[in-house]
Amino acid sequence: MKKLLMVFGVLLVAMCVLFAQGSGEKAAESDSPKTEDGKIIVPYWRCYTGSSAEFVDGIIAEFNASQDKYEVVPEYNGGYYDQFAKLMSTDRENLPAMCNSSSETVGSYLHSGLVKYAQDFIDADKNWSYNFYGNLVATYGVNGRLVGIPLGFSLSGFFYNAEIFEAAGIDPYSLTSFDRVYEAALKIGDGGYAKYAISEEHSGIWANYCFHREGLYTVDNNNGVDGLPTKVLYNEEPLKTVCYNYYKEWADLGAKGYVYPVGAKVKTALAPALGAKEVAMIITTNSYKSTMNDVFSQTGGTYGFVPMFSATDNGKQTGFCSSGNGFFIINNGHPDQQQGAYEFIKYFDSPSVQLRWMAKTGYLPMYDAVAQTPEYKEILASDNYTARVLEELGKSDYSAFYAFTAVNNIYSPAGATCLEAVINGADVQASIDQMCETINEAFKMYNLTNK
Amino acid sequence: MNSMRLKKRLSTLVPYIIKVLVGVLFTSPILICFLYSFKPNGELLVSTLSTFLPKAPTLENFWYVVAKVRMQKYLTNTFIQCFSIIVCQLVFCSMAAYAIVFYRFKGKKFLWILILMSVMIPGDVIVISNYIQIQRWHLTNTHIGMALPYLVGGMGIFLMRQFYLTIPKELAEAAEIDGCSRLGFMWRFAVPLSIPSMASLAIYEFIAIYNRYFWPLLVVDKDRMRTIQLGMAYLEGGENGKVAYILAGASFCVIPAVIVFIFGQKFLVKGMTAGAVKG
Amino acid sequence: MAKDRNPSLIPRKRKFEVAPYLLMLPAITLFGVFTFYPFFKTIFLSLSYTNKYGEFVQWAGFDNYVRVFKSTLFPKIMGNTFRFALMVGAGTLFFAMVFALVSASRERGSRVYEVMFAIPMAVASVPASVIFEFMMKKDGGLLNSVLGTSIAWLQDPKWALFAVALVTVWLHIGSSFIFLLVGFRNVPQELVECATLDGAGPVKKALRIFIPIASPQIFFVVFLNINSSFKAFGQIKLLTAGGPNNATKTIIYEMYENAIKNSRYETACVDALILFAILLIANRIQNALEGRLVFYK
Repeated sequence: MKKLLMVFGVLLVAMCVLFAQGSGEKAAESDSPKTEDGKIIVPYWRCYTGSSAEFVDGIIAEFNASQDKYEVVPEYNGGYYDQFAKLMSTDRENLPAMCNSSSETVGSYLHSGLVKYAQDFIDADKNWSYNFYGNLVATYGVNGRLVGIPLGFSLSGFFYNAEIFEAAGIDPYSLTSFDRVYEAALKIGDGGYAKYAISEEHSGIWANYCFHREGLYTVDNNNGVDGLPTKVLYNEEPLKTVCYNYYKEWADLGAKGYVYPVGAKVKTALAPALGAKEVAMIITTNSYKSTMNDVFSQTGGTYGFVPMFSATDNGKQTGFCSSGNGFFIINNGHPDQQQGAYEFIKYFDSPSVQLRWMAKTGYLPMYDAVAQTPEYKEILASDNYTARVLEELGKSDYSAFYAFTAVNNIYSPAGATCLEAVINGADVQASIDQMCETINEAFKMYNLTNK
Repeated sequence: MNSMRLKKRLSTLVPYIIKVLVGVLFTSPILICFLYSFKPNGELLVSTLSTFLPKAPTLENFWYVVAKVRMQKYLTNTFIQCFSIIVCQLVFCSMAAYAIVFYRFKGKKFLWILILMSVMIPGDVIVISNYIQIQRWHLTNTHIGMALPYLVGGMGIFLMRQFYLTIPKELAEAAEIDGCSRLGFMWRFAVPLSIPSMASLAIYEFIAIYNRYFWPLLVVDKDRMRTIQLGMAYLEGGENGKVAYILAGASFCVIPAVIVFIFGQKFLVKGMTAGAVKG
Repeated sequence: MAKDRNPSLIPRKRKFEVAPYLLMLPAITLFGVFTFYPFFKTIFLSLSYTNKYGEFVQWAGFDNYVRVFKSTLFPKIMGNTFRFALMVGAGTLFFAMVFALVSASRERGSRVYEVMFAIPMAVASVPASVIFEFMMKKDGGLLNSVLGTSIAWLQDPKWALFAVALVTVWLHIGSSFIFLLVGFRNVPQELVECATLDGAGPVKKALRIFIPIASPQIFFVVFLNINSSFKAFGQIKLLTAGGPNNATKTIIYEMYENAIKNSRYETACVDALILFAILLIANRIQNALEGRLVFYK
């Protein structure tokens, strides 16, 4: 059996060689954060995949070529949750200089202890010129000081199939409250204009956006400015009645079978169903534009997008919560890298990049200087709804936004679970109670262990 | 005469066809995946049963997966991982199982219980602790760092033990009388006889490594070290992603696996014949 | 076991042998560093509070356990865990057994269906989930079209657990099939032929010959399935993410959420230990049965 022994021996040696290869490369580059031509390497955890990542990588290449001080190197480290979990357990020396993540996670980053306030870099910079819209400043900042810097502005609301709405005789822009949405859904369902009247992307944040448009806060930290919340207000007046009605209406629609099964994904199920006129509207964010275009190029017909409604007609219709994505500068112990990250962010947010980015994703302009360009006017003319969305946006103020919680990963899925429960016939109040219990416990535990 | 032969042939042919049909039904998700990955994204999104075959077949999806995302690089990394981990698992697990079955020594029972327990410890909690360990040793972004915690497995030891228990003890005894040491017996008889079990273990490990997602995600943050699962996650594409790319990526990583598999099964069959010699 | 049958197991002289320790050394070292050290840390952390980095903050005693056991979701999670394990474990074993029995005797071209029965194991859970998501759509999904039903497989709380179990069984059958096939193929051909001449039908042959002789492999497959069905979670994450209305939330998924998504590390540790206890009990029962049911030569 010497042969066998030899085979094993050879395999072991081969393996050691393979291993050594990997470790050798690592040792060579960990010493110096510079490239061969002396540029400072700026590691960037880019939480984008697919074609968005491709676009961002293109911009990175442009940026790297445009100056000779910094070299941004993008790496993908999982989706929002995975990336955050990895950031939290990574040693400082291995941390990147920046990352990006979605707007709901601002609270987690703010309280992570990893992030450097972006405002500090902006204050030190005399050339900073972007005057972000108020709701973006509110979403990404505390008391007007930016924690992260937005990189793309999307809005929550609903996509609708124009033909179904026309047939049913409903003006989609008249649906400014969920009460109206509910009536419209009943009309569509009862009239048989579509198999399903309404659907929601699987997420708990839409309900919160709706309550915020109503002018009501969902957690007790005064719209995010008084530190961390200690409890949710779903079970306390004035939100209690509004919240109960909201879920009650969903429950009614669910009982009648007018709701597309919740949990189905936009890309694989909801968008195709919208194109096939099986569902009349999808509550989600407008950044699914390219998926919608793909679908409607096959099915024909037209679609549109209406920004978020309030809960009732009495709603104050305060500011639209912005969703979308932002950059965060990470305190990784390398100020030069962080400065490089800041320079890159500035480049990315410049009008020339933003215009291309918006054309691709359906994101909205983040400041006036972009919105007023002739190029953007062209983008506006390419579809039939963005101009209207901007008009609606102009009507609102910025007094409400999505309050920071450090435990958004629990906070917002709890809402999704509540919706799933009521649509499938569970008791409305019991489902809300369960949601409150889950979230309150998360707040309690977080506040107890992170002083 | 003729009809009898026909009957006989039918009696073997019909069950065979049934088995193959069941096989086709069983593998249909893979076939569907493969067919669908030739569809452009728009067509794919509105596909139903009636539009099963691609109307306008395209190679664009595969082009994206290979030329843009470069899945083949990730696949190579995965295979390096598979290869090294499987070799180590085979060696270490055989050694440990052999000691458990063919030796008597102090603390054996305790060690066996430890091994059994290791199978029952769920991974996601210890994964973070291991990541911290690997960082401390500066082994992030290396193959060794990615492989180290998985070089031995309770499941593998258990499987090898199950096999060694079936080797008649008289054989070891006879070998000893012939002047073959206990260790010599391992190399000369136990290991060659256990090849089918080793092949099973190798295949089991192959799947486990192929499917590993969170561990490589933690240990790797360089593109050149990514594994296939990270590549698949990357294809997902967020709100602007295309389902067609995911399916093409899936087909792309299924095909080499299937080839490895058919080859592996051949080896397995060979091994089984070797196993039968022991009689 | 008959002691006198295995004299070779008893060293003639009571002399210290270093070989077995050397043989076990790599395994035990690796286990020590990468399994047991973190495991003891898990026990330690389950008795304390941890901060957002998963580090110790203060002692909690058994507070975490009380909190987990008292949570209103806990009974539901445990119910899901056991139902899921039963569906996956039994389903996988049953189908793998049937597939392995029908392919037990080699014939010309048998490789074709052997490969087909085993091939899903070459499919990772990510692509499998994407494909099944397509097939399990309520409207226009393949599964509903074939069955003539209209079920929201993955979005209806009544069906979601079953649907995820179905996908898991599909993914798991391959490996069990191969393990069992190895066992069944080791059955001496003469024995099968003798039984055929005696007029034994296929069922009788399976029960009297194949299953007893392949009992070590079957035992292993049962062990494997118990472990893997309690620990299966990739598909849950990708297909339903624990929903709808927590209908597919099992203890392993809960643990994953707490450890990775929710940064509630101590709670994840408690979940891990609960799962550990379940597996320990299951394996104790199984080991007790091993002596009676498994036939070693």
